[in-house]
Amino acid sequence: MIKLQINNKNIEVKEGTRLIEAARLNGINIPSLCYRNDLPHYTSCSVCLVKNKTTDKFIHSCSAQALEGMVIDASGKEVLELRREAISMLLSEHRAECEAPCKLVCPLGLNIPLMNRHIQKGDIKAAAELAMAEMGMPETFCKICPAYCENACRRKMIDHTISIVNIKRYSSESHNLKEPLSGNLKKSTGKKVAIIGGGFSGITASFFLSQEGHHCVIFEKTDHAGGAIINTLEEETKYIFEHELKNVLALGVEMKYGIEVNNDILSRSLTKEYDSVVISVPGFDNLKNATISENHIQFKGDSMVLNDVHVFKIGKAAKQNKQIIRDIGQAKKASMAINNFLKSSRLISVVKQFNSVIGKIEDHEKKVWLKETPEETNRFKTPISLEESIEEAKNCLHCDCRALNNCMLRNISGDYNVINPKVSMYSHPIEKKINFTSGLIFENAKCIKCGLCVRLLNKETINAGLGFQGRGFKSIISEPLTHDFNDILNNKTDILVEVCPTGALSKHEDF
Amino acid sequence: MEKIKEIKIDSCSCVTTTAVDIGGIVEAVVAEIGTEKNKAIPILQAVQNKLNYLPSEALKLICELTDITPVQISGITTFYSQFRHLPTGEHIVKVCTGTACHVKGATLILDAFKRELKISEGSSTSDDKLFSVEEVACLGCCTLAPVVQIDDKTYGHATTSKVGNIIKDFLNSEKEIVSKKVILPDGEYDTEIRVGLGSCCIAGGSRDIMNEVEKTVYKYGIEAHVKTVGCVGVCNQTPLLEIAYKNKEPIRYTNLTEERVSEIILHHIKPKKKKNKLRTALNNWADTFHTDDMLFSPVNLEDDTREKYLNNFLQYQKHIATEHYGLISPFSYDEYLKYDGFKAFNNVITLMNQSQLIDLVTESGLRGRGGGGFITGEKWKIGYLAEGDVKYIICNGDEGDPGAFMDRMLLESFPFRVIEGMMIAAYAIGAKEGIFYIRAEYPLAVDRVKKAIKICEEKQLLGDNIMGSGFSFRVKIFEGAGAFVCGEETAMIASIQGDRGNPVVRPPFPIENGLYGKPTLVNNVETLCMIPWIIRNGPEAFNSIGTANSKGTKVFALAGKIARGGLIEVPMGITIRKIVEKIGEGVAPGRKFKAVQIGGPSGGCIPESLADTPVDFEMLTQLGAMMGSGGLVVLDDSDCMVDMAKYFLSFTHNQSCGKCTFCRVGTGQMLRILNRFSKGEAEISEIDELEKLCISVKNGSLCGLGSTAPNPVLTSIKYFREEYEAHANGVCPTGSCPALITYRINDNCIGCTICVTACPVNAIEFKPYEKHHIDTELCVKCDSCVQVCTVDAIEKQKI
Ligand SMILES: Cc1cc2nc3c(=O)[nH]c(=O)nc-3n(C[C@H](O)[C@H](O)[C@H](O)COP(=O)(O)O)c2cc1C
Ligand code: SF4
Ligand code: SF4
Ligand code: SF4
Ligand code: SF4
Ligand code: FES
Ligand code: FES
Repeated sequence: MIKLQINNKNIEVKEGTRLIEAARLNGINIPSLCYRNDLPHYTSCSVCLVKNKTTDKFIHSCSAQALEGMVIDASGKEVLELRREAISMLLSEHRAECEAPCKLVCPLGLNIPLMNRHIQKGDIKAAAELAMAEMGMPETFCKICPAYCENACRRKMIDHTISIVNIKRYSSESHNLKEPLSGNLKKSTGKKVAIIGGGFSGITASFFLSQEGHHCVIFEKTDHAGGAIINTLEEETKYIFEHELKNVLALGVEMKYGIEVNNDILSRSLTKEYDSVVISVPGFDNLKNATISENHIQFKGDSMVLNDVHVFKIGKAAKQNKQIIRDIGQAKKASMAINNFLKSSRLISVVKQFNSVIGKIEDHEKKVWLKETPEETNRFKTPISLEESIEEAKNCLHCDCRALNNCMLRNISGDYNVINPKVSMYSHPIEKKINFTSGLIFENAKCIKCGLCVRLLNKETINAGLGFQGRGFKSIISEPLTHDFNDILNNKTDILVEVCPTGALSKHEDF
Repeated sequence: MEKIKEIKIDSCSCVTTTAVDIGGIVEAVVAEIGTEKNKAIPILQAVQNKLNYLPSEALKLICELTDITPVQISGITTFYSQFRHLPTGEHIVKVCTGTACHVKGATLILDAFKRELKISEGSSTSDDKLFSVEEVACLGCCTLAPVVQIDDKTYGHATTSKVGNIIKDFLNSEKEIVSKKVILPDGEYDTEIRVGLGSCCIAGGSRDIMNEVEKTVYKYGIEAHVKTVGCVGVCNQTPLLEIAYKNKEPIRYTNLTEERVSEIILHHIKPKKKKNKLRTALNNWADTFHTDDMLFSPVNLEDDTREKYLNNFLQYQKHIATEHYGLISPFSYDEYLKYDGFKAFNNVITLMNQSQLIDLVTESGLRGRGGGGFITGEKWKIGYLAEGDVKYIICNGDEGDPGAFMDRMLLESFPFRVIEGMMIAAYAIGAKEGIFYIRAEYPLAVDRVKKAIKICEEKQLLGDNIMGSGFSFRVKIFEGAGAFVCGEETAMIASIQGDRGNPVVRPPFPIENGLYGKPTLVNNVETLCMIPWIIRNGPEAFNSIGTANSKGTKVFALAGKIARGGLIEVPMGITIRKIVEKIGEGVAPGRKFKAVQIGGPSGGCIPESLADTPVDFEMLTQLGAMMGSGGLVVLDDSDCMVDMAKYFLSFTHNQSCGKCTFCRVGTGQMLRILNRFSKGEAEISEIDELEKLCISVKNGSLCGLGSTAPNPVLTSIKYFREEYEAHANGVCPTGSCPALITYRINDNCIGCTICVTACPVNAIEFKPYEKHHIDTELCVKCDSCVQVCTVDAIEKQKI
């Protein structure tokens, strides 16, 4: 047995144990990207660095053996800073984006590329359910939105934006309006929430909170929902709103019209009868600290506590936005934070996930972006029917990364609070290789050169797989010079996608 | 979904390989070399030698015939710079961009060749497929910098304005019929004529001198023994000829030209052939005696004037690794024996057991000369104690520092000595197999070591049960394929095993777990060269030289802005100033000694103000530099430190294996900032940013390449911060960074038009006899005009 110290903790491990394992066995977490305990170590990513306090040198804990008498610092300031720098360097090589730009700018964060994929396959129901689940009132809200999504659409940089609003409208219309959706209701939590104000923000909060299983009661001072703005809308929109309101109320939301809540009612009755109160109307200026800042979904200071009950301000009550859709978006994010609070009784900030960005795309990159779209299109017209919408959806570039929910690079960048590096250095022009037999996709610009795929394949008996080519900054993963990407690895796709820590290796949805 | 066809490397139909029987060639090579995975590099080298490049067809066939996999072959052929997937032009122009050549303007020369041969941006071969231009890092004749090699012909002291002539000369010499070699009768003579045939000498033209010597001796029946010797060290004075009489100091001629050869020989050695021959000889002698340039003939110089500088050059040196420099022929086994060769080995196997030997080496205080400075005896001890009956020894002759050529010279001049050192080391740890890892760019060294090994095998010094001692040892040569990182021992081992040269984490060190998982001793060429001397002269003789922690001598390649460069071996502890000012006789007249760059890309610069620092492992490290392998490049006040830092960093960035993040990406980010400085785009605050990045790269890199790469940058910031500040303000104080200077003609101009002809891009507007003018829009800043102007009328100006 070997005795050593990690983070001032005395540890004993078997001879030959790698430092990272020694630490993990003892509850000390060291991150890693290029290491897996079932494969030989390779020492590439350098996010596992620790400091050997005896020699004052930094060592790669995934590969260095635990040696007798070592004194290791696995989480000091210097160590964390060096890891952060390693991550930042990996990101500076990373010409890729986690979320699609359209989704990022949508105040309600609608997963537009996913919706487009459903529509493209003709699965209109799935598309409509997705929109409903993420927006509450998908049709109404897009009507009052200046369509940020279309403005940010990546395809706009190539030829013309995807007609997101119309695609969504003509596909939802054919579904949503006929069949009310129940949403995906969770089991009741037994918690009761009072919402002051039946405008768009209040309705939004009630939608998301009741989906999470909380019982919501809305107090609206007028005799109708939707606030003052409703009167300015076109008849058609009003009609849609009424319909969508029914869907929301169908989740069990109670709407009490004609009740104006003032400070008195708030402190005497609401805070006594409810587990939490959400204010979504202006006023209540005496309650200062209850806002939830928009971007970070972080509680600004403490929320207001009245009679042991937390009072939150959302939507317009929190901040007056120029565009009402932004209030609604804020209401959605705040609801998620309130839900966290109701479940845990703690004010946990909902940290925004890291998002790799690329900015403007270069001319030579366009053909790569277009690789998965139909070659001949007549797409300049705006779709005005379901059929046309399906055709148009096919032109979506699917800018979102296929690995966005299980990407170790993304997670570690978030964990270490790394911001997108100022400087980018791309070793190769971006490329997307698709194996049309197995659906394996390789995107070079997302590869962090961790070599896991190569090591995994070394264990398999195959004639030709993936390997490193080139040297130094120019090194890259590739099929052999003697083979075509289409002719390799036809039955290894799943294990490769699983082993790749990023979205560099992924599988096409059609396989 | 449309299938997109990836373009494969040589699907290009313009390459015709039809005439060549690729299959036959590959089969023959594989039959000769073998089919194991670790034969990949030698096989590829042999195939490329025959085919000029590696067509995809050949790669496929190699995979079919051997255990080598497509992934492996693709990995290595793209890792090592020696391998090509496209054919080159008929002739290869290698422009050296090593350190010494760089400080003497190699980049301009490279551009000039590309321009002259009309090679377009992004390509390396001329349209007529006659020439390909390549960059190489150090051709090993730094003293003749800048150096260009076209096929086997080497041109030293190149300038941009000479490029056209060099190409012409090469094409003309192609046509010359090589004269038949004269064969001289053997015999015992009192007199020896010695011609240096080290790389620098050859580059300086000593092959022609040798031909001329042989012709003269044959023609006049001179009774003298003609022999070739290895490097003498005065490399910038080549070619070199010595006449030695028995029991007398030899007389040495430097900077010789062919025409002088017969004159010198006849002056010293009287022909003893028939009367008429003698007469002709005397007539010839009389003929030349009266020509004008005879006045400048070295023969007319007083002996002591001729030798003065040589003495100065040699006085401060001490020859251990280079013992008998210039005296013994690299090819002659008998001569090596005569000068105590293999005596040390003999002593060892007859008189010492392994521990005694190891103790002796430890006592000598010898530390590895490969850069790390690890105590040699201690390493041997670990090797000796390591378990297992299969152990290896590798002689590290990769020498990648782009401004160093010590190991090359030792291998070329003293191959038997390196072998002897290796045999002793092998005996110490109990290795039966040794490998010489020699850099791809050193064909002469490979050739000579190969011959020496063969002779040793014939003499049964290598093989089983050597001299009845029960000790068996064999050696092989492994030629590197062009990757600096393979000098690092774990990368070297990967390379020998047929893989990409990626270093691996240490410990375990190779001495515990190395080649094929066996204990493997890696020692540098120079380290091994010291061993025989230490054994013969005893450890005290060695450890009485030097400083407290650095014993013995160190070989340096002294080059750069210095009057007398060359290969020197000096006692440890000598000051840098002494090396520069005494041995090297200082910088050019009118210039100021500014700094030395020591230790190559892993080392750093040491400013003149610290030149009294003694040469010592720890002292140099303290200053932020490093002993490294022993490149020592002198810089004067015309050298820009930002440019130097950028130069080294481009080298290391380029040579990074790409495995770990800090080295792969971090060096690139550093280089990006340095580029901004050299273009005057950087902000002052970026100096700190750069320093911070340097420290991260130093801390976070896996191997020595990355962790030492920041040294040149850090030292240049430490000692010359004001130069960075000046660049941030848009000024390159030495006028070296092209983006920050412009060329202008001043009033000295006499309107001679000579610059007009020199300008490759017609940027000089002129009227004869009137002051000319440079169109800065057209000017490519090639410096040609400055070189040809006789009246100093062209100035570099700060923008
Ligand atoms: C990037 C790099 C390059 C190296 N290049 C060389 C080299 O060219 N020659 C050499 O002998 N050692 C070189 N070394 C050092 C070797 O790894 C090793 O330490 C040395 O060969 C050991 O021999 P020694 O103990 O005799 O010095 C290099 C190390 C690094 C990190
Ligand atoms: S690989 Fe990871 S970090 Fe990169 S785009 Fe995909 S999800 Fe984002
Ligand atoms: S129109 Fe507005 S709300 Fe609708 S998807 Fe686009 S950005 Fe989101
Ligand atoms: S192309 Fe598709 S995924 Fe990309 S931004 Fe536009 S709609 Fe979103
Ligand atoms: S493709 Fe994925 S697994 Fe392979 S080296 Fe790149 S990031 Fe690692
Ligand atoms: S996990 Fe250790 S270097 Fe990647
Ligand atoms: S020959 Fe050019 S640097 Fe050595």
